[in-house]
Amino acid sequence: MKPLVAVLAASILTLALAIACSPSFPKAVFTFARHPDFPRTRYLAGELGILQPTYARSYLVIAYRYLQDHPLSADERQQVREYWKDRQTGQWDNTATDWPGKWEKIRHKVPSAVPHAPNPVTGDRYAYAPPTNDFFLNCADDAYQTAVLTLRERAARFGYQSAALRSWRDAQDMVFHNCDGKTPAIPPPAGQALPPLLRSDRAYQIAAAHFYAGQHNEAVAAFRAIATDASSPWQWIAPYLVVRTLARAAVDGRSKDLAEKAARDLLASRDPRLHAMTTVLLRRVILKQRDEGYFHELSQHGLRQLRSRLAGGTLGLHQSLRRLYPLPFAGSAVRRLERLDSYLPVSRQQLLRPRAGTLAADPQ
Amino acid sequence: MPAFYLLASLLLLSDATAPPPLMLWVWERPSDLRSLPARAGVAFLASTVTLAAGKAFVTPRFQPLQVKPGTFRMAVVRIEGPVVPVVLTHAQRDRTAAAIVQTARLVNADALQVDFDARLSERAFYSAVLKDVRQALGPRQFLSITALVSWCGAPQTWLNILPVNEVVPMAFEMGSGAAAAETLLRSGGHFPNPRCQAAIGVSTEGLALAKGAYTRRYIFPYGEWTETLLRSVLNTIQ
Repeated sequence: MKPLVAVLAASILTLALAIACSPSFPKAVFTFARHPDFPRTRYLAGELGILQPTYARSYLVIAYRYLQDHPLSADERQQVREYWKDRQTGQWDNTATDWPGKWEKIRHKVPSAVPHAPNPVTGDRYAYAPPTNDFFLNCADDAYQTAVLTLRERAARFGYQSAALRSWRDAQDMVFHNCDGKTPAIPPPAGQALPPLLRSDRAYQIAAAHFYAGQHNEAVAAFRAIATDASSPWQWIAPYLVVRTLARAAVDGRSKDLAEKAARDLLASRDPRLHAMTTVLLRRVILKQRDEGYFHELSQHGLRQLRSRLAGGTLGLHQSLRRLYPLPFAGSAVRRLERLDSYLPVSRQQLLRPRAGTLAADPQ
Repeated sequence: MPAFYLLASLLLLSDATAPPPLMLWVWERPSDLRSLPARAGVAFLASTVTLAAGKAFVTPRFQPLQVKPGTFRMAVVRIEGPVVPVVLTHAQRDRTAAAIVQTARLVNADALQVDFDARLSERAFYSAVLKDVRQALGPRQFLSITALVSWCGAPQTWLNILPVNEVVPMAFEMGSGAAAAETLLRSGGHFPNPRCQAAIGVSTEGLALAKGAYTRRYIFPYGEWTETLLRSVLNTIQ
């Protein structure tokens, strides 16, 4: 008996130590409630197993297709894998083109490119804002896309090996140096030896560098000068960039009103090339007003649309939100809509009506 | 030998600027903590490293946090491990360490904390990352890590040789060990591992678990830091 008691005591002690020392689950896990068993590739191939109604909608959609005897094609299965990767990594990569990557490649076609590795945190796109301890999108994909396409076109004219193009590339490197908010780097003015086209490019690069460096007054002045230069290939977009700089610089009520007025005036000019981008910019300016009631209304509007669209099986709201919000936020906009309302310490009595001609006119 | 590393680690403590006795965790919410008194600081999520698909994806913070000048700021880097255990690569280790170091440099915070619920199979990876981070940032950087309470259950564990100034056991959402841990903490007791005895992390709903003698307490809010919640915590934790 004594040996048995000793064994039992030792077992209990060991068990207690085991509980104290090892991580453990409160219950055995035989099935998952929200997703099929791993590896999910088997489910994706049609091995549905025992379906659970509690699976996330994205898994039920797959099952629905197979149960309808309409299996996913190879392309569709790849889309699902991409979606799972996006969910797993939190990276919304619905844009197929890596423009910063393309820029990094093409700049090396011009001799003597300084080796560069993107900052792992900012990715050469985000800058840190000390007053609010957060990061914001500074250099968006379109900046890199414009640089890539312009370098290609200029190389076709002047050659990748030319001194002129090297000067162009070096100046552009300085522009992008400002993307993660480091010490400002502004390209020097173009020398007279450069062809007129590249001198016009340089003026634009200088304005852009000021913009990304947060030197807003200098950027506005530079873009306004370009807007009056009929010989510059950037003259058409310079008015929009003036407004964009004003919007970015707006920190108080007066400057925000100024930015909004500038955007509306530009829309009134009815330049078709600028209309769509200015409309989106105007929405951002209005959102940046930090009108708390407007945010609340936006979140309610978004939730109403989300519920109706989920019921109808479409999700165009996600795409429309991407146009309104900075890229990183849009990546989880659907998930965060539910929480947006909780960000605002306002009561329903404080809710303000949305401005006429803005949210009400939003086609989404 | 473990005692040597523990002593070396403790010596590092004397060279780094220590945070105040009360730290408020600020997660993915816009927050205004300009009314914080000097005895409290903020430990805010500054970036997240997600280990997936053989890579390390980094997401910086996008929610504004306002604090008054002079508030002690601790940048927290959260590591999200792979959904399914896999062998983590050298490339992931390098990128994770680089992301943590760059976060510290970009944010220019007063201290740094790494938050990773590492599985048993991931501890070697985590230890290596922390070693790389320490090497890059030097001994003057105050480096804290969070810990699952299960890591603190014995006097000698893998925690003892980590090159960090502080280990913060998270006494909330503790899983199956919750009852025993709560009983221990409510009575004013400490976890057996000496590295888990100086600091404690609790939620706003579990302030009573931080009643013991601690150098530092970290508080996690369920929801946003409202003025009411802030006052309640400051009145409770003196």
